[in-house]
Amino acid sequence: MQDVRQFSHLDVPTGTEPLNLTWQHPQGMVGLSFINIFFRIITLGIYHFWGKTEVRRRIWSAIRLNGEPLQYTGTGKELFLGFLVVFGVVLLPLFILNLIAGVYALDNPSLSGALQLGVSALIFILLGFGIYRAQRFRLSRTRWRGIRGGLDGSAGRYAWSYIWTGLLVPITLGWIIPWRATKLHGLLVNNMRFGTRPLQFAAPSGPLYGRFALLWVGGVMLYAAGIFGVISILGPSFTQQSASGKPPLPPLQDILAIFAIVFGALLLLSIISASYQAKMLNHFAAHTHFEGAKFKGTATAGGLIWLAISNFLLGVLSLGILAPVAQARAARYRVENLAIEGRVPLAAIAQGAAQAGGYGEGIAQAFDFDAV
Amino acid sequence: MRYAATLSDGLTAGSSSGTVGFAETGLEVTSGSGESSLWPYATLAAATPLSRASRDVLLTSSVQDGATLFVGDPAFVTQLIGRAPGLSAGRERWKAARWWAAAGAAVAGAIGVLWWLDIGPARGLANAMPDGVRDRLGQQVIASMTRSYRVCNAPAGVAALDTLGQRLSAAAGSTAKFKIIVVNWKLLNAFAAPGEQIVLTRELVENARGPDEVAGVLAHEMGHGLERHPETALVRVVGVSAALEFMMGGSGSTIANIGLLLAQLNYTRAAELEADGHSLRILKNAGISTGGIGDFFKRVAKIEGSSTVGKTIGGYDILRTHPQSAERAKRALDQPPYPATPALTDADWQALRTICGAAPAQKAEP
Repeated sequence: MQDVRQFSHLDVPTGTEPLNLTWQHPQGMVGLSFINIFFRIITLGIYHFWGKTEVRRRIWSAIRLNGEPLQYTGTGKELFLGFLVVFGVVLLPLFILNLIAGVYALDNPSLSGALQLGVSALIFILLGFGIYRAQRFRLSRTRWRGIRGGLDGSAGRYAWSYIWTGLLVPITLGWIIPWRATKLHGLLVNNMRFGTRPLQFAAPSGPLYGRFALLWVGGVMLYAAGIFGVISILGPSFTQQSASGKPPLPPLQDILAIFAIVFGALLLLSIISASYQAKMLNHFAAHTHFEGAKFKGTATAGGLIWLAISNFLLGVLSLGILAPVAQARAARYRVENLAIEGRVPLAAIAQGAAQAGGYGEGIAQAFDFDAV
Repeated sequence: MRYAATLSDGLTAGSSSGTVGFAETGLEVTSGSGESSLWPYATLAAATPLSRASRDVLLTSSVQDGATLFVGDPAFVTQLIGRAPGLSAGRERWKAARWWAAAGAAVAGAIGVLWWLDIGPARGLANAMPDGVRDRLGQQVIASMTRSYRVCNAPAGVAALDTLGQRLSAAAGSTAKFKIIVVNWKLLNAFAAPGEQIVLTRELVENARGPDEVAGVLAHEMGHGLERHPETALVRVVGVSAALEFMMGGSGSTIANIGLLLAQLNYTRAAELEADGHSLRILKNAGISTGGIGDFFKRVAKIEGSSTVGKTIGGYDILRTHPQSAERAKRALDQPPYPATPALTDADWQALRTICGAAPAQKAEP
C-alpha cells in the first residue's frame, strides 16, 4: 500500500500492464497487390521497394499490442539503396565471375569447378550476415508506442556460428540441426531489445530431438520406399531399353503411379516436418522472456501445413502477384498463435538508441530469403 | 467535435488517454491532464497510408519526435484525409513513383527510338567480339547440346557434309569457314551457334527430300552466322536478364521471364528474314536451286501448329517463326531461274543421309 502511494506521489505511472497480442486483419491487400504490380510496371520495376514497404506498413499495423498497432518506419528509399549497394558489390561481380567461368569452362573444368565452389562458399558466408543484418534493419524500423526495437551484437559473430554449424550439418548427417537452430535463434533473440530492455532466450535443444528423430527416420524411410517403388515400376522398361537401343516411354499408368508415390511421400514428409516446425516454434516461444512476461506458442502441424499449401497455391495461381496476401496470412498465423503471459512495467521502458544499418537488408533481398 | 485518443510521449512505453480535435491549421492534441499541443497538418505522418476503408490511424508529427497518437474511429480518419490529403494512399504512392515512372517512360521512349532506327546495342557488342571469344561461346553452346546427343561421325557422311560446307562457304563470300556437325537428335531442327558453327539434327537430314533442301537450310543458318545473330542473341539474353534482375530487385522472376521471352521472339522474326536473304544469295552463287528450301518451307507451313518445337537460347530454331513459313516458301520459289546443279552427287547424298547410321527410305515427292 505504502509503495503505491509513494509512486503516485512521485507522479510515475504505477505498476505493470499485461500485453495482449492480437491481429486485426488489414483491409484491401488484394487491391494493394495489383496496385503494386501496376506501379512496378510503369517504373521499370523500381517501385518494388516502395510497394514492399507499404505491404510491411500494413502488416505491422495489423499486429496489435493492447489494441495499439506496431509501426513500420522503414522507407522504400532505404530498401532501394540497400539493393543498389549489394547489386554493385555482390551481385554484379558474382554475375561477371559466372560469365567468365562459363566462357572458359570448356578447357579447364578444374578451374571452373574451383570458381563455382568459391562462389557458393561466398554466398554461404554472406547468408549469415544477411539474415542478421536484415533482422537488425527490421527491428530498428519497428516501433510500438513510439519506442523502437533493436538488435545489438555482431553480425560477424552470428555469421561465424552460421558457417561452422552449417558445415557440421552434412558431417553429423543432419543431427546437429535442432541444436544449431536453437543456438542461432538464441544468438538473435538474446541481442533483441525493446527500447532499453532486452529479450531473453535460453532453451535446451533436447526436447526438439524427439520430433526431429521422427523427421529424420521418416525422411530416410520414405526416400528408400520411394526409390524402391519407382524402380519396381520402371524396372521392366529399363531391361527393354538395352534391347531396342531407344529409350521407351513408360506407360501412362506407370507415370501416374510414380507421381502418386512421389507426391504421397512428399505429403507425408511435410506432415512430419510441420510437426517438428510447430514443436520448434512453440518451444522457442516458451523459452523467450521479456521483463516479467514470457511467450506462449500454440502453432500446430495442421495449421502450418494448411498455411504452407494455401499460400503456395495462392502464389502459383496468381503468378506471384498476390504475394502480399500470402505474407499477411503468414503473419496472421504467427500472431494468432503467440501470446504473451505476465505483466510488464511498460512505463519504465525508455526509448533505446537509434540504429543506422540503412543498407542492412540488401543481402537478404538479393538472395530472396526475406519473406516479408 | 473531439475524438478519444491514446497518446504516447515517445520517451517510455507507457500510454495515456486523451482527446484530439480538428483546428484550422492542425490537430489539437489534449492529454489526460489537460495539456494541449498543436500538430500542424503538414507535419503529420500516418503509420499506414489512409483510405476511406481505414478503421483507425496511428499518427506521428515532426513537432514532437517519437510521440504517437492513436485514434480508433473511422469518422476521424475520413475527416483527416480531407484536412491532410497527403496522407492518403494514392498521394503517397504517386509521390514515391512519379520520378521513376517518368524515367520509365523516358527509357521506353529511348528503346522505341532505337528500335525504330534499327540500332541495337547488342549487335554492336556482338560485332566487336573477338573471334576467340566467339569460338568459345559457340563451343559451349554446342557442348551443351551434344551433352545429351551424340555427334554423328560416319566418315563418308562427314566427308559429304564437308564437301557441301565448302561449296556453300565459298559462295557465301566470307573468309570464315563454317564448321558443321550433325547430332543424333529426334527433333527436326537446325541451329547456328556463335563462331560460324552450325548444328543439324539427324531428323532434319533424314527427312530432307534431297540435298538441295539440306543446302538451303545450311545456307539459311550461314546467313544467321554472317549476320552474327547467335552472338547478338547471347549478348541480348545476358544483357536483358541482368537488367531485369536489377529492375525486379532480384525477384519477380515470372515477369522477368515473360519479358525475356518477348525480347527474344521479336528479335528472331526480323533476323529470320535477313538470314533468308543471305540464303538465297548463297544458293545462287553456289549454283544450287532455291527450289529445295522453298519446298522445305512449304512443308513446314503445312505442319505448323502440330509441331512440338522447344526453344533454345543462343540457337536458332527455324520452325519457330511459323506465321511466315508460307510467305518464305513463296519468296524462295519465286526466285528467277538460274543454271543449277544438285547440291551433292547421289552417292554423297546417301552418305550424308546415313551419317548417323541407317536412315529410313526416302519419302517420295508429294
